[in-house]
Amino acid sequence: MKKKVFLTLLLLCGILFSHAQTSLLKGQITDSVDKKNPANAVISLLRKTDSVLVMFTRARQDGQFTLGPVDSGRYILMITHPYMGDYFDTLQLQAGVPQDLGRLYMTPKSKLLAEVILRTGTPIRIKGDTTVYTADSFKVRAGANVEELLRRLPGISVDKDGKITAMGERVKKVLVDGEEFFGSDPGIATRNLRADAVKEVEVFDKKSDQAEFTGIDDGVKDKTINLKMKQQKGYFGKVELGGGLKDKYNNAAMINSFKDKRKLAAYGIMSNTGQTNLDWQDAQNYGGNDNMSTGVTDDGGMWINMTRDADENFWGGRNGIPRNTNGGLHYSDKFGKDLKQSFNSGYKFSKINADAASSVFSRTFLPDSSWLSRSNSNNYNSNSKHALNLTLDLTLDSANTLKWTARANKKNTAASSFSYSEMLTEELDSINNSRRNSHSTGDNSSFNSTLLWKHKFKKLSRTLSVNTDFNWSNSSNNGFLYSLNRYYTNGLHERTDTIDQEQTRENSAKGISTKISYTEPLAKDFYMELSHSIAWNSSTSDRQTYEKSNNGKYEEVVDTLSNSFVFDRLVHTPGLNFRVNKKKYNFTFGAAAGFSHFIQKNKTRGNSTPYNFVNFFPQAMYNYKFKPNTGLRLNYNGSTTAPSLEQLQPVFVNTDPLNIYIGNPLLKQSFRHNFGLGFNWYNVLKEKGIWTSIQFSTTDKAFVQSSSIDAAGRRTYQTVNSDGQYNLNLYSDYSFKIKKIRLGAGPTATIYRGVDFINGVKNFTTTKNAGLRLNAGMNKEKKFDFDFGPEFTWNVSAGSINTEANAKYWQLEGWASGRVYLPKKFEIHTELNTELRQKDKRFVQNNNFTKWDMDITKRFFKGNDLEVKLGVYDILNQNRGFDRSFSSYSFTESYFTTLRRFWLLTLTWNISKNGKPASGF
Amino acid sequence: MKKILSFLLLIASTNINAQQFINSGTIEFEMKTNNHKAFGDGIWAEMFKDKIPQFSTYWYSYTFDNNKSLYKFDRQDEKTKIPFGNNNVEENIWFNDYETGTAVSRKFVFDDNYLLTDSMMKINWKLVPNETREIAGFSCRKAVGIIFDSVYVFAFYTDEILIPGGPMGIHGLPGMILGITIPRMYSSWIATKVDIVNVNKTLITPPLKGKKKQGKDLIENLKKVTSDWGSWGQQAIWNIFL
Repeated sequence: MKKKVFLTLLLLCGILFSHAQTSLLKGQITDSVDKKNPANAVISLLRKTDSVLVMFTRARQDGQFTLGPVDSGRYILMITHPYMGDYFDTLQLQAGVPQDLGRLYMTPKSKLLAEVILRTGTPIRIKGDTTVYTADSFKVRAGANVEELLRRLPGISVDKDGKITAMGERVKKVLVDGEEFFGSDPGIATRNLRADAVKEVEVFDKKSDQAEFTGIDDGVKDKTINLKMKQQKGYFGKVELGGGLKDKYNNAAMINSFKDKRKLAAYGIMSNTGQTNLDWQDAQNYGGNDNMSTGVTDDGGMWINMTRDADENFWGGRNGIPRNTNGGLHYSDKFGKDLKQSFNSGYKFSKINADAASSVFSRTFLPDSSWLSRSNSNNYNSNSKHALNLTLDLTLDSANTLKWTARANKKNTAASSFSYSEMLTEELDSINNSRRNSHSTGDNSSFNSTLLWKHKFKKLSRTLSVNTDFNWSNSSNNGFLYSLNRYYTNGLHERTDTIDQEQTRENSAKGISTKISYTEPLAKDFYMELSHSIAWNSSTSDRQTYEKSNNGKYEEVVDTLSNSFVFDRLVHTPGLNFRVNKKKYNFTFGAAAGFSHFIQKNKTRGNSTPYNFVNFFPQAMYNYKFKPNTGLRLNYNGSTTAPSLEQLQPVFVNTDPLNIYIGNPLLKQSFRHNFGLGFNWYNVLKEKGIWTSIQFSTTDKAFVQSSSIDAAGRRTYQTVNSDGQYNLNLYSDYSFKIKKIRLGAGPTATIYRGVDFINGVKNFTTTKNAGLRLNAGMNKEKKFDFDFGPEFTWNVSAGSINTEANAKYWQLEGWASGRVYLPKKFEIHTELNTELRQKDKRFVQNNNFTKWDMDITKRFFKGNDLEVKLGVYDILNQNRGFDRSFSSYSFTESYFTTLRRFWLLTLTWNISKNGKPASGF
Repeated sequence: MKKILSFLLLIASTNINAQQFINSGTIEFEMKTNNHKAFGDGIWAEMFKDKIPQFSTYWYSYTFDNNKSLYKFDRQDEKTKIPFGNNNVEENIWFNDYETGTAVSRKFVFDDNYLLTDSMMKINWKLVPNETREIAGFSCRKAVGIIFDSVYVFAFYTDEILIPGGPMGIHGLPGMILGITIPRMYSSWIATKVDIVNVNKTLITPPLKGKKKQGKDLIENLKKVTSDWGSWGQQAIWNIFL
């Protein structure tokens, strides 16, 4: 009866399971030696085709098991037990047919021991869908080729015809470092390459070329072997040829050849379209990138610092349109165990010539008089520079690192200038005018070397570092000045004076400084930093001015314009800082004091003046984290600044006879307080955030300008100390997202109060700007990028004594950019910059302009080897070099030469072998 | 019925075969991440690599009893600490019930602690029975699985432990997973200690605090937000939902 019920049940089950195409499995496991029933043995069912685990169970106490329901099909039955040898069998499960496997015997491992093969450290790794064999782990005879190596690899076989089979499949392709080796016939690579040159053998399924090209997987996969060679050798680079109407050119060639970590790179640029150097990305790939440094701060921040050579800032500046030629060589290598030691060196050459024209209009209002002035000048500048740099980074052991850098520069300059300036009364009668010619040549050389030793003690966070810096520089300058100055009274010519001089200037400086820093963990998350630095510096300045004698030679020394100084400086700076780093907050506080001793020796007069200054640098910072992305930051720092040599040295400089700067030996130190408060909040999931900060700074005994202007319009000015100067800056930004559009808005404001003296009267000039910044952007990878950002500003400038130079105006600065990726590898890019200002009746011109650029690029070939780009710069031909400024008693507008409309056709040819240029993150 | 059966089975196994098979214990997992690899090889990344340790090491404890487990942060190696990122892993707790296939976890996601309830992820495992490795004194077999549609997981499990579990949400092998490597996350988890004597079973309770949310809702939300982060976004999601 019982049996019947069971059978019926089974039948029922069978019907049910056949409907679901499933089956049941049962069995009984027995120990083949002592006939016990191994409980808890794992019974696993693997799919036959790919060994995927479908189901598992453990044997009951009596060794019995049931498994299922399971789909019909072919399976591998795997039974394992810690003390038994594994049991494998293949099964064909039929729908609806329960299968009783009956008694299955397992053998205890003790009996199997003789057959166990011990494996030590597997030379085979699985990386994603790739099997990687480390070639050196498989011994082959000396001089063997790759084919012999492949024969040794488990899972790979090579028949007598050279046909390779891997994981049971015929290998269709053999690649070398990812590239086809003289066509894809597998035999060519395997028979021609030596086994000992191979680092790793990778086996994987490669999509068909068709699929890779179209991006649509057609399911065709070829078993492929990639031979990774031991030395990564290759190169990449590009040649860029650009030419355009109105004689524009922009040519560049760059190459980087590498072998493992060794890098040899070179570049050359010739341009008159403003490309005076490599951009940062190219600088990383083809230059040494020694202008960039990075670091990680104790509270988890990362910083990147980029510096630019001052003489490279031609773009958008007042120095005209540069024609430049530059080039560089870079060599770097890593060596030693784990490649912890590195060597970095570079040479750079640049020659920049630039013609520039500028004109300046200004109006000046004094309590008893006012006038306007105009000037025009044409300048020519030429700079050529050679620069060498060297860096050696050594990791001596796990506790000590040493870094040595050295830089040497040599620069030659030549400049000439022709200018005309005049001052007129309100009725346009002449007050004075001046015609000037000058030209000069100069040589500068400098050398700088730094040695940094860092030591980590056994105790966590206890560190010591010693940094020594040596620098030397020398410059000499020789110039001629011819100036014809006419002076008028009531519009009538009164007198004329002429300056015809030769001037020589020799400056040299040398210095050495050492800083020792020590960090001690006082308690958990509490650190003390002690430091001391000693700096010694000596500089000389020698100026000689000769007037033209009757014999036509420049021989007569002009005493007032000639002098010779030696300036010695010794500064001791001890410092003490405390730092607390908690999860929720961190703060630091401390101070450094600079004890400086200066001696200024006037060699011409034979006297010397000592100056002793004590400079303080207190600082405190508190940072509270409400959440990882929400924080409040408060900071203060104070700093003393001592007057500079130029500010102290009482020597007349008469390059512009109507504007003469004189030194002030009575200058005191100034002290600047800087307060900051910032708050930021960001919600990642909602993609919303606020960044806001207020900065306030005020300076005691600030260095300000004091001018005295005589009736003839000659201005003499010097630096004096004054209180009452401050600066307030507010920044805020709220960013959010609506659908796919990124939006941002934020008010900004600045208030600046400056101080100056005119003919002994103290003036305050207050400049206030209030603005609103907006931005919107949208992008889709490989499809388009759009960005748009207008900024409205309301500007007010007011003087305390004189209101004539006051100004109120609004201003709109805006930019927009767009990039669209079109089919057939076309790409369109456009950029728009606009500046609109409220018209001011006092100025002659309206200076609104819009600069609009556009270019279209087409790429050719599979790897985008060739790029053709047609671009128009400043389509509307409106670009302007323009500047407007207001002071307490005058306002000024200046115009200078700048690049205007041109078009450029650029061909770029990218070359590469085994490598490609690195890009951002 | 099935429940009762397996319950009986468990009782039986613990009583009779206590010496052979383990049903409760505490496992210490050592987790190592290759920071340099995780940073990628872009220009910025290259510049920061020598400023941070190549590997960071963390230890987690995994306590299991019957078919439930609790996995949480224990400590980290201060010397290999990177000053940014991963600073809130201490808060994370994974509670798994392998019997019902449900998981309750507390995860710190960007700014908030979330209490996530979800069914455990389904992992297709391919067994590699011939490859074995000894981990913490246990002989382990290899298996290869795929998570998050395409991420390979290499796992070593032992059938001497009866629970089909493992660190985080990785599970589904006929035994306990004692070693995991996820190449695309540049991380590995290896058991260093298995303690079957001092087991604090009271620990194994689901976390209670945190913003309640369904795991699948949060993952959808994160996918949307991180869609333009490139590989960093992907790594972030994997890290959260493992």
